[in-house]
Amino acid sequence: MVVIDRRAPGLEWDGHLLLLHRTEDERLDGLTAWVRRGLDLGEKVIYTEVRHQPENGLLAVLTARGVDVAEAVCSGALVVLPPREFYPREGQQGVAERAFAEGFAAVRISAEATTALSTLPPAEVHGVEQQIDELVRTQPMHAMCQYEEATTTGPWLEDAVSVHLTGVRQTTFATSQALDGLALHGEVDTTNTDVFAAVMIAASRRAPRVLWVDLAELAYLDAGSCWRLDDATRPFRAAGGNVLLVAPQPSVERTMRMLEVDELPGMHVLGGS
Amino acid sequence: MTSVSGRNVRHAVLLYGSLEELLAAAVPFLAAGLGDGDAVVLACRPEHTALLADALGHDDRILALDREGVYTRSTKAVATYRRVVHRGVAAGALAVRLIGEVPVDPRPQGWADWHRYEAIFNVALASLPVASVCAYDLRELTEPIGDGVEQTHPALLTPAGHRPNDRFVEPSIVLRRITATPADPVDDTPPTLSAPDLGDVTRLPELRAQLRATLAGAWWQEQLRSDFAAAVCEVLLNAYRHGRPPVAVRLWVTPAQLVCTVTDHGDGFDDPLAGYVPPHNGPRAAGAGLWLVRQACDILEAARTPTGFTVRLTTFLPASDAARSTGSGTADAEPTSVRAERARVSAKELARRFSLGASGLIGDDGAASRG
Repeated sequence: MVVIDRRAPGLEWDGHLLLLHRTEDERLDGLTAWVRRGLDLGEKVIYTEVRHQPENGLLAVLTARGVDVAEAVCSGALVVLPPREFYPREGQQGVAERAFAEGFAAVRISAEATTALSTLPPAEVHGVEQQIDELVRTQPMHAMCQYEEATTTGPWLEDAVSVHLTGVRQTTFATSQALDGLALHGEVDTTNTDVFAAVMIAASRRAPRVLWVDLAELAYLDAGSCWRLDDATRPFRAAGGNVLLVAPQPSVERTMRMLEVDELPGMHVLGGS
Repeated sequence: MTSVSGRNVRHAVLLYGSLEELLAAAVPFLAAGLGDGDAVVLACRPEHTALLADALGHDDRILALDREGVYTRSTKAVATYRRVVHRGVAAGALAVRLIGEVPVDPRPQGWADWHRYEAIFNVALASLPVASVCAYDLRELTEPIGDGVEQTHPALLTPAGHRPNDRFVEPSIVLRRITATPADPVDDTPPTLSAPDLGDVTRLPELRAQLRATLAGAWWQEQLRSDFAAAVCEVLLNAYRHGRPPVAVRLWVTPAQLVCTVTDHGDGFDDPLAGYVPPHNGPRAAGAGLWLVRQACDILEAARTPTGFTVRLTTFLPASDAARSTGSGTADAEPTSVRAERARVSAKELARRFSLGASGLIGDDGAASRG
């Protein structure tokens, strides 16, 4: 069912990621892969969680999924901090610097949004996300923020997507950085079209004059999502911006042309045929 | 009709008995359009297109289309004309005047799709700045076809200009009278794929994968098969969104056709115009799915049955030689990476034309910019 090739360039578990999970299993699968990637690369993995039972915690989950937790903890490569230590008042720069001082070349941090909300007011979460985004772009750091898809809607979803624009990881849809802009992966239909729309809104707000969207790895786009694309980018195009929909797969290109997406002002479909 | 130039007449018919009658009515209509700043589109028999272009002085604003390429299927002809009008206006024309000669097939089922086309043209291009004339040679028309032609055009074009057609019948009424082309019966045979009890919309990605696997076939049919899969997915979504569960899907794949039924337990719809009214004309996103379905398969039928509301889709598969010669799906013979790279080169050129140079494209904060 899942058409995303996680081995594709740009879809490794690196950078500033937004893991939008539908189920607990999906969350834990993603988290395990993310931790394993960090340990394999010799990075320090710092996690925080609110768990009332040790058997539900990260270390138990990783153990059950075959990760050598004991060795990682002993070597200091894997640590679980209480939320107050993970989210200090002065920001996470200090958390990262302590890891670098221990000799690690890179550090990765992760938490669930609910954990952040257990210690931060909701209004401050977006600001912390922006600080983390800055750290990831300027330091040898990776961060994965875990949001439950069902409760991440409306402005909360738009805020979350805007700080992880090229790192969205959803069940059947993902984004990455393309050489010339944003790349979309997977499939878009009614089950994830809100996430797709939030990505396009955030991308068009950030684009100065041209929004480059590489569609080579997008296998499906339904009719309703063509209209979400129109809606999401309309203010940008009305202000003189141009959206380049680059290298769509033939089936996606035909859908867009049947829906006359390419006839919209400021929208350009470049299929290569 | 009060309009002198005819620009306000969306869809008229020109019934001619000789070449002279065709030219006497068509040339003034088209020449007036050029005088008004309109573009002109011709999709007639080649010899008629040549004569009309001669009479109009080969103006740069005249676009001659290959008639056989335009009139392949009702929904595709509508889509072509919508695109032509969009582009004419984008190029600076105030409106588009077009004259076309719809194929006349005296066999009832040969005419049915063009009868349908003439009816839906009235709604599918209603919002566009177009004045269209369908020219028919009276000597070729049987009585039923002549009746159908007269009932689907709200105006007549004669050498004296436009006048109202009092035999015009509302498109929805015409569509109810047109029977669908009967497909080969397959419903009594075991389906190639059957999913009898689909719970909720979260199953859509899984179903798409099943459909794709079942519909996988020869590369020269790839386009037809993938369009058919897209049509089925949109009908499935409608069943989930507007119908009542459970939703059942049955798919038959034969060498000659693809057939799929989607049944839910809701009341369904009973609008013969469903999928023929462009989504732009209605509430946002309403009708987008069925608009795609009408274009992506050959036949859409919908009916209430004892088991619920069933939508039945059919696409006819051409023989391999025919498909190869028409180029259906030929793009898929080329590696996708080659095609994608060519697209990126074109995109870079377009970006340069937007005066971007080598600066970042999606943002200036380095999150996704070129170095």
